[in-house]
Amino acid sequence: MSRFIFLTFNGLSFGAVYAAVALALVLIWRTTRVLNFAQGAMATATAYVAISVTQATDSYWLGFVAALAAGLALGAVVRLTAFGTAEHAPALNTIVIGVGMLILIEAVVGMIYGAANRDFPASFSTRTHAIGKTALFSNQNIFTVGSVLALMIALAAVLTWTPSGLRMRAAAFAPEIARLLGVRVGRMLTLGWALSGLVGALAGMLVIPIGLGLYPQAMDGVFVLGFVGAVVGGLDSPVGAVVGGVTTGLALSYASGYLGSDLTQLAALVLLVVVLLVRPSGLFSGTPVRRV
Amino acid sequence: MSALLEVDGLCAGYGRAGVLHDIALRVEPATITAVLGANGAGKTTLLRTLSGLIKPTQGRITFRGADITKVPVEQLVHRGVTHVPEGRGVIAELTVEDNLRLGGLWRRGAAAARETATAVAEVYDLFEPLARRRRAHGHQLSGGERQMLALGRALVARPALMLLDEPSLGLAPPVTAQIMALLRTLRDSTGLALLLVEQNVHSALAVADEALVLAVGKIVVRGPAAELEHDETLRHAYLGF
Repeated sequence: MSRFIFLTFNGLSFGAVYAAVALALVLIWRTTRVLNFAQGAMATATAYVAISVTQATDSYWLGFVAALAAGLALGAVVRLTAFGTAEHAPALNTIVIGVGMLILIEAVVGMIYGAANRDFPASFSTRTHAIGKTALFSNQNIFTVGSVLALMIALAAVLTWTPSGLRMRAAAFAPEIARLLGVRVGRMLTLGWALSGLVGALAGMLVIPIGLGLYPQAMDGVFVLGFVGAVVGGLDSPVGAVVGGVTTGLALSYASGYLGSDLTQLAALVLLVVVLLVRPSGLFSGTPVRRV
Repeated sequence: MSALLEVDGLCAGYGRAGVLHDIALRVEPATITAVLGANGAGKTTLLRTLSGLIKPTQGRITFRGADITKVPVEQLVHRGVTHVPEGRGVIAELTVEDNLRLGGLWRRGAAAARETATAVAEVYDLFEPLARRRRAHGHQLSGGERQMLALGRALVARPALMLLDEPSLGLAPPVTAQIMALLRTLRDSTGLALLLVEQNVHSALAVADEALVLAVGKIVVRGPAAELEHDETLRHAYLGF
């Protein structure tokens, strides 16, 4: 039982990270039908920004904030440079551009910072609290779940209640109608990419310190698991992305805890196959009709 | 006196194929102009060109005395033109309330939110069924309710000119009659000018002041709606009844 509790907390913590990556992917997918393969690399790049800023200012938290800001900026820049003209292109084109951006970003980061694995400090202590002999969670785990949750609530509030949020939803669901009502759709899509970059950057700042270390390809594996989470939840649904990400985190934590850590990747694959067999469009892809 | 909307020598189309040829028309404030014609005559293309969704290859569009030929789509609502596209243009994923609020989002500044709220409240007064279904999503509405919502959303923008594409499409005759009566009320009470594309010739001519008939991208007949309604050769030749 105590092992189960530990694995659950561990799974929730990683699940929060996968949920953030999944949400970053969904934010872009549902507005532009682009699957951003560079999402992981972008997050890694922002973590390097954090290191530079922390070294320059001696403040960890200034670096943390700088990484989030860099995520916002990088998201907007990547859309405006690489994807802006490709949004109506066939899916294969956008995939090639995404993989190209992935390689480019990782290469540039490698040229500037080197390919070596660097220590990357966690926001809080990673020592696990325990009651008696039952290991529970670390402060970093709490911060991970808490900050992802806070960001998601903030994002949902912005999208639901602010004028810009309404503009973004209109631009996503019905670009032509939105334009006729005065919404600058291109600007809204760029804003979506920026928010996606921010969410991805947070995921990187949370997960790179725990077990990964910082190197140019650090987020590649996390990206794959976040993608699994997004597909499990249904690529069109932000709620689905969150549920899918957490489900993935829990499933992998139990699999590696009870079956051995060699089977983690395999468990992700099994989860993906099972969900796709039962619900091919994902758990939360509720509306069969997208446009009327 | 200059008209609200003046179109001169307008040509437009998709790719290299021309659809509209040398279109000229005037729309005065507080009038309803019906655009009639068979399928494929270019009625929808005309509206899409006027609202900037299609760039004209030649010609000039003047609104309130200013040349708007090259004004981007997103800017036209600021100047007082709204376009209610065919198929009602309701965003199915958004609630009635959000759809309506969207009509006012082009406004900026401190008073914007209040002005939009007032306009939304007026629309609820005008369309009882919408007021009862504020939290319903677009896809839960009936055809008539959707048309009301599309019209209501355009009204929230408080336009001077509304381009309306087939409001009667797929609606039961009593609902169509209601909508047409409402258009007349709007014209008389707010001074709104309407350019109304319709397949339903009877209801369009009944409500319109002026009418023009498009055939293969050209205006072949124009005149007061009441006259066109009684011109039998015209009806046989172009309108099929």
